[in-house]
Amino acid sequence: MTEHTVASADDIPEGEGQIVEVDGLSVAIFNIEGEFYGVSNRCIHKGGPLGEGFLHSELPVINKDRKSVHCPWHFWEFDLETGRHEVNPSTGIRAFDVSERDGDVVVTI
Amino acid sequence: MSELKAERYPVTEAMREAFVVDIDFHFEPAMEKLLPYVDHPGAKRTLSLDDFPPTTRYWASGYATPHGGNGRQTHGVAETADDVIDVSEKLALDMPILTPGYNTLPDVQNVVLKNEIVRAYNTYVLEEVSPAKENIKVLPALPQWDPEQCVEEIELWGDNDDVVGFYGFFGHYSLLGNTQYDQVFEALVKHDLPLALHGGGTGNWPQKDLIGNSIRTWTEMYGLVHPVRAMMMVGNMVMNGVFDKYPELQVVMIEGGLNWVPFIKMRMDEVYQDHPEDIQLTERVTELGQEYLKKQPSEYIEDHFSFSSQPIDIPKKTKNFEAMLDMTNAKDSLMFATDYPHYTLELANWTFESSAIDEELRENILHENAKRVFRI
Repeated sequence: MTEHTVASADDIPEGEGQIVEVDGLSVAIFNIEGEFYGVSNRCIHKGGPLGEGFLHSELPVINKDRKSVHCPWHFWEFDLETGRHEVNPSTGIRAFDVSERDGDVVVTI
Repeated sequence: MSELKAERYPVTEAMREAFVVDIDFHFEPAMEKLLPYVDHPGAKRTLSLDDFPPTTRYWASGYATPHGGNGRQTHGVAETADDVIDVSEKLALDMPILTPGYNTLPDVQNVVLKNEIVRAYNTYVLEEVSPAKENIKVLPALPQWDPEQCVEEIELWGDNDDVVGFYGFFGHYSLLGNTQYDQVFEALVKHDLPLALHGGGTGNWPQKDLIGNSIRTWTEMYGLVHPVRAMMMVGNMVMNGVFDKYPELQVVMIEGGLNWVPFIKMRMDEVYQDHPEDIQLTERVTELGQEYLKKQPSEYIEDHFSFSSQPIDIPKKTKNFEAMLDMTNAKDSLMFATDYPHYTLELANWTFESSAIDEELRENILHENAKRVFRI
């Protein structure tokens, strides 16, 4: 496992996401209330870019506590901690360990 | 205005290099764009005051997403030639075939209003939009509820170089095996143009029907209603002898799905072979003086029908995808479509990502089949 500094924490405001390249992988990083999360940027459905997607907490939904992202294409929803699809947990995307350290966002792959 | 955020779409170099024909690019101008072309004074007044006429449409995909909305403008709206050119560039589409976005139009009660909308739409798109660029092609709207008016539109626009067919619906409307549509088929054959049929009245299985009254979810409504309607349309046209009377007619089924095609080919052949005598009671076969159909139902489906790729339901296992493409005769019948700008949008990336699709098949799907069927 290798740690990669991918962005400054200030570059990803709360409630937003950013797509970064890490070791040849396209990774979607999100900031939810100061906590950073990272998942594969490619939706398993039709390949939509999850980093351009919608954070569940930013949508007009009932349960805003859910930490997940909706693909911008067809709204497939993935848990940001596990990568699992919300209504079909047998499938999902890769989730990465992401942390903030000294103002940097660090992804471990 | 088009509001497409290009970064949201994984367009690759290979997609840009390929020549991509999109057979279902919905062009849906606001009523204000059409009003200059509306002639009927009462219709002009009403459409000026009240915009698009109301329908009995009830179901909306927005109930099933956290976003709300109706899913029809998820990826923007194309209203002008510049919009079409801009979106095509961003989505790596080389030849958009514009299809009317008014999929609920048959559900409008007032025939005068909807005939005027069709007339104005066809005039606007063919006078103001398609001339802007050579590769913009058009499937003008057919006022399917009025066969005589359909013939008028076909005669009016059928020789226009940008017209590649005409656009009607499969939905909760009369099936086109009915002989009242013979005049429409005759006009299409005369102009050597195919009939394109798209799911209409999206998500509208009337509630008065016991099935419609039982449906609760968008998965049932959108996921199953279009394919069921499409199956019924194909079966009805075949079994009522449309293609014995019009052997040159081609029909393109758009957004009805694909994977059911092998099923109905086998099912219809078997039942027809078991019980063929009632074919003699159908009006058109009676008129033709035939005892039976000239071919098996499956042969008509292979010879006369093509299918849009969207929605493509790709099996997870490559060998199953290969079998599906083989059993659906994809090499000759499958044509790429995006369904832009609806939330169900698909791009051409899937044609590059499976070993089940070789270069020849990909070219057939992306352009060769469309060029042949639409006489491009």
